[in-house]
Amino acid sequence: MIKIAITKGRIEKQVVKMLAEKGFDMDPIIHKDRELLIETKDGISMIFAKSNDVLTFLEHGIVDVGFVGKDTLMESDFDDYYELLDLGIGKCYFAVAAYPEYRTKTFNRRKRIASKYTNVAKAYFASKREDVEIIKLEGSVELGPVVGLSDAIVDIVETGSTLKANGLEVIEKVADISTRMVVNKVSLKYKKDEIVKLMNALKEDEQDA
Amino acid sequence: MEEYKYLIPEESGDAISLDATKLRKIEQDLRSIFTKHHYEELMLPTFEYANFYQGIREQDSSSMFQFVNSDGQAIALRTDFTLPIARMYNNANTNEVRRYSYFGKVYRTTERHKGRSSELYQIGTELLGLGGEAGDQECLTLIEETMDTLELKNLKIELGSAKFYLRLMELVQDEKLSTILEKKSISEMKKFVTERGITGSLARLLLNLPMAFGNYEELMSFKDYVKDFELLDAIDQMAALYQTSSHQDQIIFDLSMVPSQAYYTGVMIKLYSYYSAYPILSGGRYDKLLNYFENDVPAIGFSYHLNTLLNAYIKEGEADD
Repeated sequence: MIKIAITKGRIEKQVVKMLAEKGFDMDPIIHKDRELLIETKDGISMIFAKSNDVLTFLEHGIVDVGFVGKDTLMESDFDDYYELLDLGIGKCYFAVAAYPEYRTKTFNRRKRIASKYTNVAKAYFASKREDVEIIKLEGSVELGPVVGLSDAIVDIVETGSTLKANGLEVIEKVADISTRMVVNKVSLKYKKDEIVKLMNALKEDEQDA
Repeated sequence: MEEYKYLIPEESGDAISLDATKLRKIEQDLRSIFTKHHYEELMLPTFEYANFYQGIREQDSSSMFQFVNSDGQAIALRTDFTLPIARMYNNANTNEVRRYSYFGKVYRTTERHKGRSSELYQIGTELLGLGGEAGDQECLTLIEETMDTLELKNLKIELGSAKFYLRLMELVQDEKLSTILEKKSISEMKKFVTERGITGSLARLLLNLPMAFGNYEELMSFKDYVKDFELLDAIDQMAALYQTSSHQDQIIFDLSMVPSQAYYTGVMIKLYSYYSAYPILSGGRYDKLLNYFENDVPAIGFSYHLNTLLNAYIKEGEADD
């Protein structure tokens, strides 16, 4: 039996589809109603959770495997897991975004950066040796510059249309994001075969070395 | 509201849940084994100079409980036993073989609301002045003898090699490799090898490293990817240690194990329970630690993590019900 926590929503749909294509029994999941835990015929037990909680379940050894975005991994202070695979799906990126004037403007005070991902923002500006003030916003982070709360934002950019609609643009790319398969370190040692089987099914089809 | 009368601070969360009877029983069993093998028990100070730890374990500085003493010095609650014991050996001005054991708590700050513990109970030993195979063997034998008294099912001993890791870093010369190995990231390794333009036998080895773990037969088959003499030597050392084990069927290897401390130089050992998400024991050879005191002494040690261990008993009990 291998226990999996999967981020609800798009990641769930994509991973389930990939597994179904490789012959895993995903019917009970595709046809699920509101159940949060489902067991399949292949000996997989799957729970559906918010991205941060996927990592919490993994940390506490409740599940062996998690499917979660790189954004969540980067923001979390927990990093004692194996990150076996980049599934190459759910691709987007972290970026600093602001009004175009931001590029040329001189600041005589600390810049203010709004973000939902305060750790990512902090680490990024620290790596540039820039001392900034980070302000946490929970949603519609674009509001930061729009209402004058912050000079720029650090946020996930997919198409950039929300930015554009608000007159903002990408100033710098911070990091690429995609869906990752993460594994509890002890689980991998006890359930190697099962986890490798799952992993091979999700590997991008390319030649192996 | 006088909440402080009824609630306990988050820092002590785990400390109260420890099963004292069970803990004392384990303590007693381990102590009698340690004594039998002439390990002298030490009582070590709770307070240390913060700089003492920071000098060698940088990562500790953010997790120390600190205060400033009357001399204006930063004092920290001890975060580990190995360093104070190494200091004691060094200050004794000897090069004899010494065997020490310890039973006690270390203190580390942790993130809030994470269910992690700040007060960690550890039991362990240090074997100083005995290098090479003889020391490794004594350490492994002691671990095996103690793990038998634990009466836990389905334990696995995992061996890694800091020597293998250090040689690999020497060959590749890129810190990034460390993170990739630590995460066993197959995808990142592929990217790394391509971006760095690594080819030939080294590329083949690197690409296979994330999955280079398993039992003795698997270790031997991974040897095919290894061409470097020093790397082979590191594998042979692990294999030789395996041959001396009385628990061969429980031993697994991990070639991509990354040393948790910079002073590890040789074999690294972890003990896993099926019912614990974290190792219940960790240890290894740290021949470079005494360099910190401008001394040169081989040493090896291990430490049981009682918080994790006691949780494993609870989980195993629940699973049996």
